Amino acid sequence: MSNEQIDKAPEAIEMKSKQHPKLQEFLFSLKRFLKNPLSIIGLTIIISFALIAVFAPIIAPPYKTDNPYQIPHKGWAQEPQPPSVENPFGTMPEQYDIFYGMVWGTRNAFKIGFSIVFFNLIIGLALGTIAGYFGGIVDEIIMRIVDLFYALPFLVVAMALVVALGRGLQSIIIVMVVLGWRQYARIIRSEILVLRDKDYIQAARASGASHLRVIFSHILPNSIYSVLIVASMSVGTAILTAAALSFLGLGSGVGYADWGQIVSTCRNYIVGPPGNRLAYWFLVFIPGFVISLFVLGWNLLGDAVRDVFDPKMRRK
Amino acid sequence: MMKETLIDIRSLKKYYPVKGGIFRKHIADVKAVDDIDLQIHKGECLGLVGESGCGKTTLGKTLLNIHKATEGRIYFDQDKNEVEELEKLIAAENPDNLQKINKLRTKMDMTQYSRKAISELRRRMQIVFQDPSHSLDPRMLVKKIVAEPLVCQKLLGAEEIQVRLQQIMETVGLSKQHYNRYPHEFSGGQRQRIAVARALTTHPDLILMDEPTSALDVSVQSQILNLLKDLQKQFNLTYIFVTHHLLVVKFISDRIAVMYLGKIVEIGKTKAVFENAKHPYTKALLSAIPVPDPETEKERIILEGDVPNPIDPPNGCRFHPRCSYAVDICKKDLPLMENVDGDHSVACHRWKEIF
Repeated sequence: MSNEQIDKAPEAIEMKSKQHPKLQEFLFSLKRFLKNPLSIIGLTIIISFALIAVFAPIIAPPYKTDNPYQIPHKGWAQEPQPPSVENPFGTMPEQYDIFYGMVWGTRNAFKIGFSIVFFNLIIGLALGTIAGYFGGIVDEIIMRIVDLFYALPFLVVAMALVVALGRGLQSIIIVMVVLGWRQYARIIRSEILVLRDKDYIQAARASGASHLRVIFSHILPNSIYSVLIVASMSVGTAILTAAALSFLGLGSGVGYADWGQIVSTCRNYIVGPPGNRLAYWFLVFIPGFVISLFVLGWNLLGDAVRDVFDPKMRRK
Repeated sequence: MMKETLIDIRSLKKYYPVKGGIFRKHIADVKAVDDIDLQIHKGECLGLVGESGCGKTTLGKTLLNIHKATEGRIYFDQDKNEVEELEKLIAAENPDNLQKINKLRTKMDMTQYSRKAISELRRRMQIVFQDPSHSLDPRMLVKKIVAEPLVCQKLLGAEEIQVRLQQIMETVGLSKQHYNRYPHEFSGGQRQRIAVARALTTHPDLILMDEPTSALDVSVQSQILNLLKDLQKQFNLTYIFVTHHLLVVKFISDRIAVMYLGKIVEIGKTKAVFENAKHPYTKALLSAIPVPDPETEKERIILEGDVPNPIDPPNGCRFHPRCSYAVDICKKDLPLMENVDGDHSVACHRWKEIF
């Protein structure tokens, strides 16, 4: 039996193969990631926000340690005050400190984004995988349920659920999980439908691999990346939608440190008094800018994740 | 001398339902494998040849229980006498025997096995697919791919698996430095070696070769074929070699079965079939082999038309619409397998007259 290619293995390959291949792949991914300036910008934005969230107690020491998300306020005056030394970002109506709200709101933004995407992923992945892999009547039932959820009007259901569950951030998260998992189920199912009849899946089945083993060691490693890409892109969108729902008044009450809530509290002062229409610019501009920056960061990061993980873009 | 039979197939059918209408009613069947009887002996290589879509791969995969058989019996390594007895019972069609038949079938017939019994059988039958770039998981390391059947079967401990892995990889010509790599880092020939290694790890009795060389370069094909031949001797393997490449079959097979539209039309020793083909279809296939000599004047038999639709195969002989020897009887009656001599059988009404 002749075997020339194998004997000719160059030394360079031998050097390379000393590292574990998993590590090698990771380093390759990292290198690809760091090559793209946009991904570095995205990462910098997200890391800065993460630092703000972690060090919130130092940046803006809470006056009420049992409930740090309550924004401190001085007096009950309705007129918002422009940025000053005491209130770097100005104050909202009833003199709530915007700076404090923005800092502690960062924590809430992360909480909202992560928990929504995390629960969506779990529910969507589980149902989509079962539907795609087993097919037939199981697929039919699960996907018709997904269709049902797609038929629900978002705002109407959101308001109904919030009324039922009570106002607050946790209600917004629940609403967005209930109405968000459906897209992950569809994506993973379509990926699995492509994979299911591949030869290596049949080979695994012919080797006696159980369904669970096939799913976890062949199907998911080959199909999960598209879902992860969508997930990383939708962290930003989730925060945007949560802010919108807060703005509509479905979030926690006045004075709670949540970006959407801050904008909501200020909505009567978006336009200034006659003669000075831009008097309260800081009310709209600061939270709006911060939310945009945060979402932009996640989108850039999502793009970078796609470039790194998508097998079609990866080795270009 | 009678050879021992490893697999005995009796009137095996594999139909794929065609559904149509608003209510997805069952309206027809694609008869991919239609009533096939076949015996495969221990240690032989049986070549399955035929046009694309004639059901050769389906037959192979149904044998391995990758696809569930619609009807028929598959006996894997069962006592010959017991099989004959059971077949007699089934042929008698006596309703009183039904219970007894069912009991015997769950014990002997692979199509009736429980899930557990089948997963034990998996150790003894393996498959090598056509294109190794599709049959190896792109996100798995080679050592994991090759060891997977062992891990799934839970036959060996972790250390024993490592020992077995090393043995097998050496046998197929891969060395230690290849373990920690992904399939995309290999050439086509090496990938097929990996696929072969995976099929060998559990020391199976039977390997289904589903066109294992047709996705490879010609130069690599011969390497792989030689490897397969060596392995067969070394491990006393039985091969079912599915291919449409007649010269490959001539090189590696002991016997050849020619399929047309879900049926076996001719079966016999490789030499007998190549030199003394009796079925007009086999003749036509053989006449298509190129001869490496420009001087030779060859009689080319060119078949008219296409393979008929397997949903609605022609009555009588499946081949009659394309056969230049067809007469009235071919349009009415399905020809049965008739013995030519020894192992050689053919399903044609007119084989005695025409060749």
